[in-house]
Amino acid sequence: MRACWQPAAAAAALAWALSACAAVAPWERGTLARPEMQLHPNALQADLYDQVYSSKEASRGGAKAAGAGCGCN
Amino acid sequence: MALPAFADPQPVETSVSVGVSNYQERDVPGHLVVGGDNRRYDIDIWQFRLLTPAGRAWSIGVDLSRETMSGASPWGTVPDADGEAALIMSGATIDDTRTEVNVSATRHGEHASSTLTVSQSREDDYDAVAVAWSGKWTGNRDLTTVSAGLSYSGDTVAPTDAAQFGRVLRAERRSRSGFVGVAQVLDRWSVLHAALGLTGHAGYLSDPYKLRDVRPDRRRERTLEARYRRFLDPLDAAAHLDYRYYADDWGVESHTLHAAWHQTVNRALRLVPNLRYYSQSEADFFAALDDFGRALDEPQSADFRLSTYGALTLGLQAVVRQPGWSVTLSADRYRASERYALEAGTEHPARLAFTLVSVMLDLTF
Repeated sequence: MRACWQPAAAAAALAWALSACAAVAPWERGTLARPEMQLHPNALQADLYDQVYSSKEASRGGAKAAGAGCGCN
Repeated sequence: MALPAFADPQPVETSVSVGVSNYQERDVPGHLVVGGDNRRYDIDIWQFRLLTPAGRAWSIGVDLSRETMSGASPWGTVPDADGEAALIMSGATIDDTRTEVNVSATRHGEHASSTLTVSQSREDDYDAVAVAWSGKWTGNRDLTTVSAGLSYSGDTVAPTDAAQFGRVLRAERRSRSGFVGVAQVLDRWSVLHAALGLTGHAGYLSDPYKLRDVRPDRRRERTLEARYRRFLDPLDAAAHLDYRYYADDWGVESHTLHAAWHQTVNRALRLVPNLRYYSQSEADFFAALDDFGRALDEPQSADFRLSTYGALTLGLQAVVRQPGWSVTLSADRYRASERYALEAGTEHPARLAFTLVSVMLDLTF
């Protein structure tokens, strides 16, 4: 029963946190849409770094669906 | 204009990106090598990406990458005259090429998008086929985007010269992964993204080229990451701060911190100095020296990538942007050392250092 409360509490906390964020009208989002404000300003470069670091270090992964291949040189 | 945060509207233009990159791993000092060649890999990477709208609600993406490498690679460690680890390297004759193709189709809705990607990767000794799905949903007046994804990869390892060196002839591994994330617009100048990822590998996970490398046949990984973007109006600059926590059931735990400063110089030029810090703990079965007397089914590996160490990367990018095209030049200096680790590191003769340089061209039409 306790386990059921934990996700509910986390969801409630998340909802509270989101409601505390400032309302930003669509016409106020120009700055947020600039290229340098994107999570990955250059997708090709993000792929390059993922490939290089995951072949040199023990860690990998994150918020993307994994592709194929080893490249574990 | 792209929507902020993580939203994924249908592209209105076709974009083509091409990238060329190179890095040369620093040679291992000669006195640390007792056999083989001390000259490590020289790696060239070519990348191509096409993203184009299709119909009223779809887009198609094609990604190609080709990686060619030549040089020597560590095979194992043995004690030198002082009992310290010394390397046995391969000959300098290793030449390999990896070619990867990803094709994706995305359906874009008013407040959601869904992407299916099929990937294939081929090397002389490694083939992989993967399928992945990911989705994004926006809500909360388009200020919140939730994302999720699943992927599966089936890989086949067939080492070269297997019979000559007693390597496994052919082996398979499977990987399944999933993630959930949320991106939130905090105010007019800042965005925060957080995500949780889980990956499971099963099958042959050892390195067949090492003289003695026996790893468990299962590995479960989890990641927690956060990305923060903040625009500073008075400076006309954007600050990026990324953090990733990683842990797996092999005992490896790592922290990655990446900070970047995107400084607009003028309408055409942006400079991006950046710093990446990485620290990991060693796998439970890591051993600085290969133990050839240990049972063959007992896990052990002297791979430097499974040891305790840290790494620093200093980088600089220049982005030149004009209507219809942009060019990104970048140079990153990577150096790994046990001294950079958050906990007491393990000295290893195969520590890496390299400088990665790349040129990328983006066109839209």
